[in-house]
Amino acid sequence: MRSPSLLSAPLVADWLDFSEKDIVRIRTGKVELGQGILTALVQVVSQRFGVEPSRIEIVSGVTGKTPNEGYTAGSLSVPHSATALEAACDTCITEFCLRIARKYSVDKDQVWLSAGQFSVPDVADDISLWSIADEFGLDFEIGDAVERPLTNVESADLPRLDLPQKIAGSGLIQDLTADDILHAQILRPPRLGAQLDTSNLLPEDRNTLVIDGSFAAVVDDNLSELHRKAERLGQRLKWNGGVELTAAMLSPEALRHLPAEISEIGKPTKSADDHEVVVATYTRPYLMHASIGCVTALARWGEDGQLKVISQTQGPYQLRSALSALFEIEESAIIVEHAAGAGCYGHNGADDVAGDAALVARHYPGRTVRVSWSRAEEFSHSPLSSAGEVKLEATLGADGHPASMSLDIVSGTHARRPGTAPSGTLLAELQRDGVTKLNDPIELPEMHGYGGLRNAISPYSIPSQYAKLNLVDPPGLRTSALRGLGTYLNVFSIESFMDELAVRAGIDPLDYRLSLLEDPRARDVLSRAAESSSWDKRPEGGTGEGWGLAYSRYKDRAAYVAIVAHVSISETVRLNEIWCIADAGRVVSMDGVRNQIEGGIIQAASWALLEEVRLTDLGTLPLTWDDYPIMRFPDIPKIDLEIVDSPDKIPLGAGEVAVGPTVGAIANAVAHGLGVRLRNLPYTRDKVMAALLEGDGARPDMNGS
Amino acid sequence: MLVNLKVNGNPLEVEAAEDTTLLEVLREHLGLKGTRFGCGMEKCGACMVLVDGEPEYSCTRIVSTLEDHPIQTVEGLTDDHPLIASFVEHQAAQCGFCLPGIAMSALALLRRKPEPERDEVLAALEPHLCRCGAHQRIIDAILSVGAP
Repeated sequence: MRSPSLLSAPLVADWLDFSEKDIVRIRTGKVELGQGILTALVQVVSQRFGVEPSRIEIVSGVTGKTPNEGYTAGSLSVPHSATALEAACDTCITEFCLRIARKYSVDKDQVWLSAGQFSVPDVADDISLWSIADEFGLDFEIGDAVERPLTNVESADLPRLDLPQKIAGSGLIQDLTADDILHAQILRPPRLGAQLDTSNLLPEDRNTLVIDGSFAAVVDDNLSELHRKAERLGQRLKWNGGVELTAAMLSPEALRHLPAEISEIGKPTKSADDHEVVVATYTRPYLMHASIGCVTALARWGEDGQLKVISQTQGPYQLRSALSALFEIEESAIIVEHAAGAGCYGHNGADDVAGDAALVARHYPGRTVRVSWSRAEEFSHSPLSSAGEVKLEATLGADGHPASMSLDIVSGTHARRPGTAPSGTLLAELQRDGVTKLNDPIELPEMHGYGGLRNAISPYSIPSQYAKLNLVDPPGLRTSALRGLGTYLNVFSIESFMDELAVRAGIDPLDYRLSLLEDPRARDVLSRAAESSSWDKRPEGGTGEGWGLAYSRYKDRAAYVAIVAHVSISETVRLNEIWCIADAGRVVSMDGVRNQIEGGIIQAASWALLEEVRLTDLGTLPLTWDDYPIMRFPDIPKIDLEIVDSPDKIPLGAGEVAVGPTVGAIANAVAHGLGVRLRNLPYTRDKVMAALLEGDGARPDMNGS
Repeated sequence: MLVNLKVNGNPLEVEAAEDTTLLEVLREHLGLKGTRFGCGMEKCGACMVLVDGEPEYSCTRIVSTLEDHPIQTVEGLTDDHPLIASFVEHQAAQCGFCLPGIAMSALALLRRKPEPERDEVLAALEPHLCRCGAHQRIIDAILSVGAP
C-alpha cells in the first residue's frame, strides 16, 4: 500500500535534506504526542541509510517546512509517515546508486552504501550521501519501498530520543518562555454561548483587559500578578444567557430525545419468523481527556503582520487554516510550529489555546503571548467525548448463533476539529461571538474508519449485519474526538452482547467467538490470550471473582487485539490483571507499540471503572480532579502483554487499538463475577451496589424483546 | 520580600511577593522547569518536590515559609543517578509530564527503604496521576533501582 502522505509530498526533497555535512535531516508532518513517533521515524531512517541515530535530525510539524500529513491521529503515524519515509529513503538510495554507477561506468549493483558512504570498486573518491545530494539534488519522485532495507544495520529498538530530556524536566511546551513574554489568562463564561456584560467594570480595569466581543482576557508580565488580576476581574464580569446545563442533559438517556441525522452501514434485514429475537441496550457516559498538563501555546504577531504560533496541536496545517479564517488573513502570513505538550489523546484544548494566545497577541504586536489553561479550564472547556447508547438486536438461528445483528446507536459527534468546518472550530471564536449553536455535527466517512459508527459492524461471521447512527447535537456540550471515537461504545456493546448470547446458548464465550471468527490472525490472538490467562480454568461465575474476554480489530484495519481481564468484586470492582495479545503487523518500534498498548489498556480501564462527566454543585462541567477522578497507582492492574510480530505483513497502527477490547473484557469479567450483566458504564461503586442489591434488570438469562 | 532558599544544595536569594508559591519561584524565578503545574490543588502530584527530604506539593507551599528548609527538585538528580537511569532503561514514560514529580516521591521512598516492595511503591505514588498509562513501567523502574 502506498502511503497517502506521499500525495502532497511526492519528492525525496520533501522528506530528506543532506545540506549539512554528516547530518541527515528528516521532515515529517506527524508530531510527538508522547507516543514516541519521532524516535520510530529516526529509527527507520537510521536503518535505511546505516547512519547513526545521533547524526539524524528531525523536523516535525512546521507549516511550510514539513509535509502536510493531516492530523497525528487514528493510529496512522507508522502506517503513513514511517512507510512514506521508508519509500523516500529507498528511492533516494536507488537513484543515488544509479547516478554513481553511471558516473563511474560500473553496474549499479557494484555500488554499496554503508554508514552514509558509498563504495565503488577501484574508486578512491569520497562519495557520500552528502556529496551525491549536493551533485544531483533530491528532486526524485518517490517510488515504492523495497522489500528489505538496503543496508545491513541491526534493527534493535532505539530508546526514546526525547525521554532523557523530559525525565530531567524540560522539553515540553509548558516549559518554553521568551524574553518578550506576556502571560495571559482568558476569563471564561460559565455557560456555552453566554454574552459578556462589562457594566460592572471600573474604568481602570479596561486597561488590563483584552476584550473582543465576549472574549475577555487579562495580561501581565508576572504570573502571580496575572492570577490575582484574573481572580479579581473575573468576579466583576457578568455573563448573560448561554446554555444552562442540567444533570439530566449529561445522561446518555437524554440523547434519544434530540433531533438526529441518520448514517447507516448495510441494510436492515427482516428476520425469518422462526428466529428468536434478542435485544439489549448499553450506554456510556461523557468522558474527558484529563491530561495531567494544561494545554499551552505561545503566539507572536510581528510588526509586519506575520503571526507565529507555537502549539501542541495534532494538526499544524489544519490549525493554520483555522487561524487564517479567525483573523481573515492569508495562510502564508502564519507559521504554526509544533512543540510537544503533555499527553494528548484526541481533540483536546491544544488548538483552542493556540487561538486564545493568537487573539490576545494581536493586541500586543511584538510580544510573545503565552496562554496556559487553568485546571478548571482544562476540564470545563476542552471538547468532551460524547455519551452514547446502543440498542443491539440479534436474531438467533436454531444453533444459538446469530443470523443477523444490528446496532442502533445514538451519539454526539466525534469530529469538531479545525478542518471539519470553515469556521467556528476554535473556542476563542465561539466565545468572542457568543455562539450557542455549534457547527452541525458530522460523521466521519468510511475512509477515515467512521466516527460514531467506528467498529459498529462486528468482526463475527453473521450473515446479515446492519448499523445505524443517530447523530445528535447535545445542547451546551462541545463533543469531539477522544482516543478510539465510537469504538469505545461499540466494542463494549458488541463484546458484552456476544457474551450474553454465549451464556444464552450455553457455550463458553471463547468457543462461541471462535465458532464465528474466520480470520486466522483474529483466531490466533484470541486463542493465545485464552491460553496465557489459563481461560480453561475459569471458575463458575457469580462468586465475586470474574474473568472476561473480548476481541476487536480497531477500525477493521489496524491491529488485532484480544484481551482477558480478571476482576475481584466487593463493593467496588478491582481490576487485578489483564492479558493482552496484539498482532500489529510488521513492527517498526517494538517498545513503542508495547508502550502505546499498555497505555491504552490503563486509560480504557480507568474509563470503564471510574470515569463519567457529572454536573458539579455549581451547575458546571467538572472543574477539579475531585469532580473527575481517574485511576491512580494503587489500582493499576498487572499487565501481561505479548506482541505478535508479523514481519511479512504491513505495519498496523497501535495507539488506539486496545481501548475497545479492554472495556469489553472488563464488562464481561464483571458480569461473570457478579452473575449479573451491567450494561451502563462506568462500573462505579454505586452501579455495583445497585446490581448486588436488586439486580440491574439484566440477568444472564435475559428475555427476548 | 527577600527569601533565602536552599535549592538542590545551592543557597539562593529570591525576591518574591509574600504569597508566591514555591512552584512559581522554581519555574518562573529560577528557571527550574521540571517541577510542573498540574492543578494547583494538591491533587495530581506534578509539582512534587522534596522539602527537608520529604515529598511536598510545591503548588501550594508559600515560599516565605521555606527559609532554612532545603528543597530538592528533579534538576538535583544527575543523568547517571540510579533512579533517572532506571527510568530511561525502562522507557518509563510516554509524554513525561508527570515524571519529575513522581521521581521526587520515589526518591524519598528509596532513601527510606532502598529495596521497597511493590505495594510500598504503589502507596508512595498514590498522590501522583499519570494519564498516558506508563504506570507499570514506572513501578518496575523504581523497583529495579533497589533490586539486588
